[in-house]
Amino acid sequence: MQPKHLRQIFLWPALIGLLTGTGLVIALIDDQWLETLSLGALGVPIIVIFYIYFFVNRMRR
Amino acid sequence: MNIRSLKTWAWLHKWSSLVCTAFMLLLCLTGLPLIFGHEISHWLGTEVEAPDLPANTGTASMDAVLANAKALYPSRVVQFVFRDIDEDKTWTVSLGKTATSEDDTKFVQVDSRTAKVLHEPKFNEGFMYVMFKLHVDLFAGFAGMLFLGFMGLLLVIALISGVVLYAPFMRKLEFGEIRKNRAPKLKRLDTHNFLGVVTLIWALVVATTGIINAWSDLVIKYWQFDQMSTMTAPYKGLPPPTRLASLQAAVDTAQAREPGMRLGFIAFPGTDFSSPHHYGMFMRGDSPVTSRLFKPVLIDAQTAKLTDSREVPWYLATLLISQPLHFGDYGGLPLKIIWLILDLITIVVLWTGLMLWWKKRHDHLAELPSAARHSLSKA
Repeated sequence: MQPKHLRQIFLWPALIGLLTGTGLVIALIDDQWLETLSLGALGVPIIVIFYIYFFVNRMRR
Repeated sequence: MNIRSLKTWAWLHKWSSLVCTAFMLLLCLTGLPLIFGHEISHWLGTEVEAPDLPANTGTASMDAVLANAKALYPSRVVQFVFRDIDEDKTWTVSLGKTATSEDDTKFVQVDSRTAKVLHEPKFNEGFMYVMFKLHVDLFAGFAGMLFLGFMGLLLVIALISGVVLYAPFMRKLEFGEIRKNRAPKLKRLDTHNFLGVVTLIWALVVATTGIINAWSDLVIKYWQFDQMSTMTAPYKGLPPPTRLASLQAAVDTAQAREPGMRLGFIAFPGTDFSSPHHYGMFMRGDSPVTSRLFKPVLIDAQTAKLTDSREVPWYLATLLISQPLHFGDYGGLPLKIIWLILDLITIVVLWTGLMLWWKKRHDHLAELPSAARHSLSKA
């Protein structure tokens, strides 16, 4: 495997971080549909963890 | 990145996290029940719900609410009258030995529609109180708060240095790749890196807002010095009122001043949130943000007339907004569950980090005798 560039290394962490940050802030602004959207955004890191840890890594094996 | 700067970052990551890990584990563990504080108190029976009454039931006079609470402890001084953000059926009255005493405070929960006493919550004892104190100040007051704030700062340094170190470790790995079939330390390292980087922003936000909260006492003291003293300047040197005006009349004055807001809590004369001459009426807005930003309205405690009202300054606003971002209590039960899972994942990150260090140290020590033997045979 070719060594990865910084951009490749941080692409997914940055996207997940952006979603988490947005989710944390928009739930403060609105308690109607934006709150639902925010919960979805905040759920992303959890889903990613469970999906990759238990599913993708099993496939890799 | 060259080897030297990599070593510096590794040193920073190792020591910033080692020093704070034990306290962070404690904060994560005590934080778990605090996320569900309401639910647990309800379940333990330390919290009661007001009965359902017909929708057209009016509200009782605040004077009656106050009188019924005071009747239980006639020798005590009323400090605050408050309610939770989502509570509209009750008021809780706190009564202390003096206006500012913090030990042995009595709390009386009163139905806001009938003025009947419902319950005497014990906020200063029991399981949740112990969790709260361990989480906030380690039972060491202001010094404990500042100490935990400093531990939070170390955590922020550990998180940032962790991100810097993430790159060199991931150059030949896919995102989220866990080398489960190799040495246990590689699995531990990959798990630590993966869980750490995915929960990074949440952990940074919770750590930063925790640090801000650790300074809350100082922020409030500064606000009193900066704003309260100028608002109450005309009263300086005057003797405190001997008879207080009707609380309901004072509430009505505050409500007339801020008709779009609702009363969040009342600070009685002489407490830290008012002056010896005033009722401090703290009003909430109705959006998730403005409901956290209390607007103070000072009412003359003798005449029930308005003295002054000001917007909260930026530093107090920062403190008030940082609280929900730390507690995770602004999106109902789903957000609390997200907080719970992210907290548990953070415990795994802390634990795997600690184990990585411990095993490495252990291996290093195990190697020492042979290395020593080797150098001896050479000699």
